Amino acid sequence: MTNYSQECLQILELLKDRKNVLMMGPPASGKTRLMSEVADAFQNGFIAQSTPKSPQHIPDATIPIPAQAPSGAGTTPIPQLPSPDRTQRRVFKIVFNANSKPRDFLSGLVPEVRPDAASTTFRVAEGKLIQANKFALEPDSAALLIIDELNRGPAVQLFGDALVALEADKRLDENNQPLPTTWTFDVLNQHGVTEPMALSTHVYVLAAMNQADVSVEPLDVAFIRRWEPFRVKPNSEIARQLLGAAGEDASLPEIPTTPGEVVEAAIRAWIRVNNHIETGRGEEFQLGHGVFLTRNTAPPPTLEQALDFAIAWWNAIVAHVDEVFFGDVFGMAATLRADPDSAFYRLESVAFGQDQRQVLRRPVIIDRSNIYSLLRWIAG
Amino acid sequence: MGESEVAKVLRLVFREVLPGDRRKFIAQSADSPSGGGARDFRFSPYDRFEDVFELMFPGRETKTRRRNGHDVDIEIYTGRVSIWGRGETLLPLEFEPPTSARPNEGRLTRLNHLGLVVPTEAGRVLLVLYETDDNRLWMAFATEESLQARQWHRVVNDFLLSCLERDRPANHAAQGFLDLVTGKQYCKSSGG
Repeated sequence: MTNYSQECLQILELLKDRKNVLMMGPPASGKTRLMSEVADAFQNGFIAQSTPKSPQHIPDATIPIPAQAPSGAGTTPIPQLPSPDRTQRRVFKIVFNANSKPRDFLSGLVPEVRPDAASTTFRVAEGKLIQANKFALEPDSAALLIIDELNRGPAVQLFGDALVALEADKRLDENNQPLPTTWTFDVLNQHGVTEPMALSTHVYVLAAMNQADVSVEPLDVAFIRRWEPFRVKPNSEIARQLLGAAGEDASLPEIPTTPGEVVEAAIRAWIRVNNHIETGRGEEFQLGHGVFLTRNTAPPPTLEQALDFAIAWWNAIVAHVDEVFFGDVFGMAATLRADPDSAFYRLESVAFGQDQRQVLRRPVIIDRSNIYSLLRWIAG
Repeated sequence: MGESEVAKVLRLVFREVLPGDRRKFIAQSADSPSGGGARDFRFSPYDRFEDVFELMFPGRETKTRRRNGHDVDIEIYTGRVSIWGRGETLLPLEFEPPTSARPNEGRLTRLNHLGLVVPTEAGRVLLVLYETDDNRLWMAFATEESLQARQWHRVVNDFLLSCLERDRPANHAAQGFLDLVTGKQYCKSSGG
């Protein structure tokens, strides 16, 4: 057995079959954590590992004096592991942003300022995809390239003509030899001359993006279809388990008596808000369970602490609702369950010159005395 | 020389690669008035490291060096090293005693001849030289990320990471040695 999550193993399996996986999900739904887990599994995904008693130099390990013996030393790769027979394994990472350039991802020239030189010179920079590919082209090697925030940079431009070469059936063969279907793209070599390169079948790409984020550049269909999608969804059970919630079957009293009841009320309110967001804006705009895990990942020990946590969680949830429904007061009101009889959120019509405007009234103060009632009201 | 096999690690010496050291590995650092030493990797205080280098390097060679304007014969330690991840090739490696300008520093010389590629990500980087019980020397890099992920053997990992994390001025490299045979170890901290 391994300690890797089911989601992690699913992604490994998709990488193994399709080479390129695009993880999509709302903010705070655990994408970055999952990517780190996949990275660890890619490098260390072997079972029945043994720990040498004294430090040993192990030739086929990924680390010269490793903590555990790798597959070549009598261990077995987990079944989902891509390129399981390859023992030199490395993970490369890049985060796309509006300023990302082809030289960061493929290759390109960068100025090199040298105080002792009369003029500025240039050198060829090798981007992450090329670095990962060159590593995977080495004997007994496999590479995983992780791209976070895929749509926060000009992704289509950054991939350039490497996009076609990315497809599983356009790669080199198992021994990194060209096939009739292998597709090449141009990269600059260290002499500044373009030369064709093909992608190894042992380089894998895992990208993540939040569709709710405004893309720097649109991702067209041709780009998206090169990826196997993997959707990450908000998971209430993770928050319930980590924070000791009373559970979805518990009935919540009017006055809380345990921290678990407060946590449960907060989780139910968040679920209700997410349901409204899904209806009003789409599921990609929901808020992930990470909102509960930024402050603490253990059950609050006292009722007071649970109430304090709940205030912070609710403030974060409302901030997200404000962002998602910016300019849409009716959407905001529906999501926050505004009601004329509510002590919390009310939608009022107020005069604005010759006009009537709708204004969302909010609680003047949210503190330990009213947060639990508010959450119960929102949860319905 | 056949394929290397699993071998017990006897001892290791390490030194942090500071940003200014990176050029030492690519033969671009001899442009300073300090001369050829700019491509060397220094270990100090020499009297703490001398014993472990003496054990690790099997050969002795007398070379003539300029000291205080005069030619003097000095004994240097010589050995052959394999680079981790680059197969079995053995490359010459030398350790030289202090110069008159730096009286308490021993030096691994001419590292630029080894073709080492210093990792540029994964945090701080240590150059690790280690000896195995099949009488071989290996050179490798240990990254801060790999140590924090506890990917190295526990004994080595604990030693390297704790030494790396000790307080020291930003321009002082972490350095030390661990002898698994004698049990001796040394980590240079801000106190010297």
